[in-house]
Formats: sequence, structure tokens, C-alpha cells
Amino acid sequence: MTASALKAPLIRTLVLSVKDGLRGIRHILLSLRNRFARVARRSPAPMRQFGKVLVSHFDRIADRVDRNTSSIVHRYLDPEISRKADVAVLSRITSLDEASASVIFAKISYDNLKSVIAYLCDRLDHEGHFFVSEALGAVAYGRAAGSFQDTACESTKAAMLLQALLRVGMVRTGSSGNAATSSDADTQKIAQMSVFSAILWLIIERESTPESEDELLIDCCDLALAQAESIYQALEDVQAMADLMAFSRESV
Amino acid sequence: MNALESRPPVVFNNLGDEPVHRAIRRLRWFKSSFISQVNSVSEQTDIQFETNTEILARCFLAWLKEFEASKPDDPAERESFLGYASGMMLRRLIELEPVRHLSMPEEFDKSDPAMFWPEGYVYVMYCLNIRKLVADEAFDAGLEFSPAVADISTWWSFRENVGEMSSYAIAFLDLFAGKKPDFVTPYIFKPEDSAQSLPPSSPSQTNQATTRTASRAASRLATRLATGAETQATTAGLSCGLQIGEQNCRAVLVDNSGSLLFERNTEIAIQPDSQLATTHSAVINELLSAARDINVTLEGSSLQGLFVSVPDSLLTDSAEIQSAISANTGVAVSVMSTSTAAAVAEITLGAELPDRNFLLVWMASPIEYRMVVDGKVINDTASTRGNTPAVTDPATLAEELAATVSVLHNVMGLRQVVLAPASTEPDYPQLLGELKNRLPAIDFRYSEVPQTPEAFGAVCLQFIDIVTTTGADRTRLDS
Repeated sequence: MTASALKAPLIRTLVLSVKDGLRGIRHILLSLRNRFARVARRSPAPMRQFGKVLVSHFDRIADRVDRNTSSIVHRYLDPEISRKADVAVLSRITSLDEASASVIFAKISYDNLKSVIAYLCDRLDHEGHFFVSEALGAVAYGRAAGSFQDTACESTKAAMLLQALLRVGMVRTGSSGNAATSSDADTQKIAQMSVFSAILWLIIERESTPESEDELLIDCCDLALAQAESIYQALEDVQAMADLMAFSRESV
Repeated sequence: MNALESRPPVVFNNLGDEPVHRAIRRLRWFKSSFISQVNSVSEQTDIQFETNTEILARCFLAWLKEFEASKPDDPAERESFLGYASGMMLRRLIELEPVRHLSMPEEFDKSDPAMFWPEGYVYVMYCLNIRKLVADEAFDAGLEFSPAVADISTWWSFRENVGEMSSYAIAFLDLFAGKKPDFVTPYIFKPEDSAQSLPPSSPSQTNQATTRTASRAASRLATRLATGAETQATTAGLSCGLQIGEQNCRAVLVDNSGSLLFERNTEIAIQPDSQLATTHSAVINELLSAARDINVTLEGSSLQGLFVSVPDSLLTDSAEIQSAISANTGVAVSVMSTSTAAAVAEITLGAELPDRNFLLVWMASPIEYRMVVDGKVINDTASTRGNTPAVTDPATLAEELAATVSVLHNVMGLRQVVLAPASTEPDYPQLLGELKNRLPAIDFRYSEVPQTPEAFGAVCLQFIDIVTTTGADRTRLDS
């Protein structure tokens, strides 16, 4: 399926919702498995053995569901979107009509956020699970794009997108709440840093890049972690965030 | 050929058309080039490292902000700023420690700096290599590393000093790069040297640079005048010295001919660190009591000033000591370190030295050092080093001393060292033998100044003329 086929609003909404739904099944199964494994570990010895057998049975089911949902999503529902620099830069995305742009933005952000969240969880030694909603990514783009005509500055557009993504909650917790407003400090930090990194990756210059796009994404992530306090302080202020984005863009 | 010369240079990532001085201000190249350096050292030495890229990014960001804040406007100052900027980078790397060594080779040469301090070696080589690349590319100025970069005794001193104050990294990187280091205020960028060697800049740029230089000079002059005003009061009338040793307080009063008029010795037990406040309070009380007794001796007539000498560990309380004694006795007080007093004694009463440039080593615990340049004692805190507790073990002591002396020898051409005895005395013949073996180019000798009250009293008469308050003159030693 190509991006142009997704222009029709109804189909677009439906497809993104189906993708989220399929991923949701996978996510719930994984969360249940982990919760069950934790309970089994704390049980008395005879129960623990029984628990292990059940967890391994669960793993087989989860693995099958994971493969099937991934296959369906990729084969039938994913637009052909490359994460290469010629497509995946904000200036190129915003030059498209809003319907196509929102789909492309949501897909690229989904892919980036998955990698970045895994990296951040590892760095911060965080065991929680996150669910990334592609549909909410498209919604966020739509909301931010409404104000794009007010500015020609790419860093300001990036700041608007960051705020929109955090407000709609594209990154969600295990219990499907907005991770950016979670009461857990690490969960909140991972949501904020991951969104900052994913957006920064969209606006950095590429001409002197000696690395792969994935390595660049990790660079964005390291830079976000290094200035976590500044990011936190600029979250509610578009201009401050735009300045931070501009500085970070120069520095990566 | 030393271990370093046999190692091939590191090859950094391709930059395309971007010059190094721009690329280094981007995290992506900073990170990839740093990791190339780590891998290169690992291949050359068989040391395995782990790099934390998140900490590396913090180093980068901290450095970049400092860089942008202190970048000179005057293009003529950019070449000298290169040395300062690379030193700032080394300082950040040492402070934040993005690299950790995981394993060492089974057999290794302990005199190889990479084996002595693997992480420090990676940081230094990285900063030197970047500095060389930028110097070659932007200024067409070839950079030859100093032999000090392979000298293990310099590395001992480097590691110890940056552990105490990370800003010494800036001075040591200059030393390793074969440039003149500034160990007094390494954290301040000083463009003067290179500005003289560069083509003249535009009139407005020259004016800006002149204004800045004049401002710094005025500030230094003000400091000297202020210190001079404080000590001038002590020159009138009789001279009195109060000396705090490791376990005693000595008060002496001499007249202008050096005759002893008053002496008092009191034992003071120095408490462990946890009870330092008790020690300080005892010291101040004893000083006050001695000062009152001296006034009684003089019938409250002509005493106008007091010199108080204390170990470096008590110098932090100099303001407290000064105000307490001044308030209780009504006389001007000047507080200085015991090692300064010992250096003055060596100049005025010591054996004849080939010249009047030497390092005085006050053999207390911890050891204190004072530089003497052209017969003047440099009385700044940078000329003092502590943290050498085991003065009774000649081998360890010789190793520690050799490291410091070696750096001063390399940096400013130091040739003479005087070992002055305090209350704790090591095995002198063995110590002297160890030192001469390690550094045959240095003339080591013992002080023959008697540690008597008269000698100390006589020393007090000489303080004003001999002690300078800044280290500005130290760089003259090698000239």
C-alpha cells in the first residue's frame, strides 16, 4: 500500500486504528506474560515450577501472535516509507499535503520511537513497557500542522510537533496512559526524551554524515539525555523549545 | 624508541569537505572520532575499554558550551585558543570519565603511560590528535608532541595533579603538546603569546585585545598593592614570628639586629581530620596567648606587626587567625605558610647555592613545596602540593618527589632542589640516593639552616622583601 492510497481520511483512520489494534494485542499479551512471570518468580517452589511451564507456553503463543501481527501490518497496512534522508526530513514531509504528511510522519515517528525507547530503557535500566500509537502520531501532526502557516522556521515547527506528540500521548504506558504525564519519573523522562530525539532526527543536516541513520538517531538520543534538564524546562514554551531544537540541530 | 613512538597514529572518520575545527563541534563526529581513538589504543595496547556514549555526550555538551562562551572575537587569538580549547576538552573528559578499562594485558610495561593510566592515556591522545589535526589544517602549524608525553614520571604528576584540580589538565596538555604551560591559572585563556607571533590585526581588534590585557594587568597590580598594604604595617617596629608546627606552637620575638627577646614553645596535639575544628581553636587560643605575653614583654609599647606561619592545612583559616589576633591584640597580622618561612630562611641563611632559583621541599607530613625564582619566594597556593603522607618511607617519597620535580624540570628548567627538615624526618641518605638515581640532572641538597628560634625570628625580618604573592615570575626560571 502506498502513501497516496492512504489519502482518503476514512481509510487512513481505519488503517492506522487497525495497526494500533493489532500492535495492542501483541502489547497486552506481552504485558500479561511479564506480569505472570513476576508472580511466578515470587511463588513457593512447587508453584514456581508450574509457573515456568505456563510462562513458556505463554511465550510460544506471544511469539506466534507477534509474528502474525507484524506480518499483517507490514504486508497489508504499511505504506512504503523509507527512513532515508531524502524522504524522512521535516522540510520534505511538511511540503506534502497534510493527509500524506501525517501518515508519513506517524510511520517514521513510530519506527524511530520504538528504537529510541528501547535504547533509553536500556540506558536508564527501566523495565516498564511502552506502547507507541501510530494513529495518535497522525493526530498530533494534524494538530501541529494547523499552526505551521504562522512560521517558516523549521525548529519552531519541530517544537510544535514535539508539544503535540506529548499532549496526545503517542508514547503510552503499559496501562495505556499518556507516558508523558505519568507519575513515574523515569516513564515520563523516557517519553519526553524519546519524542525529542525522534523530532530532532527529522531536522538535522545530513551532508557530512559519516554514520547510518540509526546511529544518528542514537546520537540524537545521547544529546537529549545530556540536556534532559533543559528539555524539561522548555516543554511548555514553544520559543524556548525551538531555540533548544536549533542549538541541538547544530550540535548533532 | 619509546612505547608511544612505535604506535601508529589513529585514523579518524572521513569528514568529506567539512574542516576538523567545525566537525569537532558536532556530536556525531566527536563521538565517532573518540570511539576510533579508543579502538586504536585498544588495538595497540591490548587493553579492553568500555565507552559510555551518554556520558561522552555530556562531556561534549559541557565542552561546547564552554567553548562558545570563551571563544575569542579576535581572529588573531584563535591559534592560541586552540590549545586552551583542547585543554578544556581534556578537563571535561577527566572530570566525567566516559571510558572505563575492562581488562589489561597479562604482561605489560609499567613505565608505559597507557598501562599506568589507561583512561587518561585515551583522553590525552585524543585531545592531542585533534589539536594536531586542527593546527595542521587551520593554521598550517605543525605540532610536535613533547617527549614528556612518554615520560612516566610526568604522568604520575599529571594524574595526581588533575585529581586535585581538573583545570591542571589544560596546562598538562600544553606540556604534552610541546607548548609552554601555565600551571598558575590554567583555567584562564591567555592569548598574549600567540598574538605577538601573528600578523597585525585590524585597529579595532588590536584595541579590544589591548583593553583586555590592560584590564588583567590592572587587576594583578591591584592585588599586589592590596597585599603589600597589608604586610607593610609589619615592617615598622619590632618583628615577631608565631610558628605553628605539626605538634607545637612556637612564638619568637627578635629586634632589628636579630637578637632574641622572647621565646615560647607550647605543645599542641594535632587532632585527626574529624576534629580539625578543635585543633584550629587550640592553635588560635595559643597564638592569642603568645601575642598577649609578647605585648607584656614589650610593655605594650612598640609591637606593630606579627608574622604567623602555619602549615598549609591550616592556611584555609588564615582569615580567622588574622582577625582573631588583630582583634585581641590591636596589631597587624600577616599569615603565611611554614614552607614559605622555610624558603625565606634558605634564601637568607642557607648555604650558598649556584643560583637563586630552586624548589624548597618542606619535609613535613604532608610535604609542602615552595618555588624560589630569582631569590623571591612564590607565595601562591599553586606552588604547594600536599597529599604525600608517607614521608618516612624513602622509596615512596622519592617516587612522589621525583614526579613533581620532573615536571618542574621539564616545564621551567628547574635544576636545584633543597630538602628542608621538619619534625618528621625520613632516612635522608637513602632518600637522597634514590632521588639522584631517578633524576641525575637535578642538584638535590639538604638545607643546613638551623631550626632555632633565632633563625626563625631572623627570617621574619626578611619576609617583605622576599615573598611575592603571585606566580607570575615563575615562568622566568627557564629563561
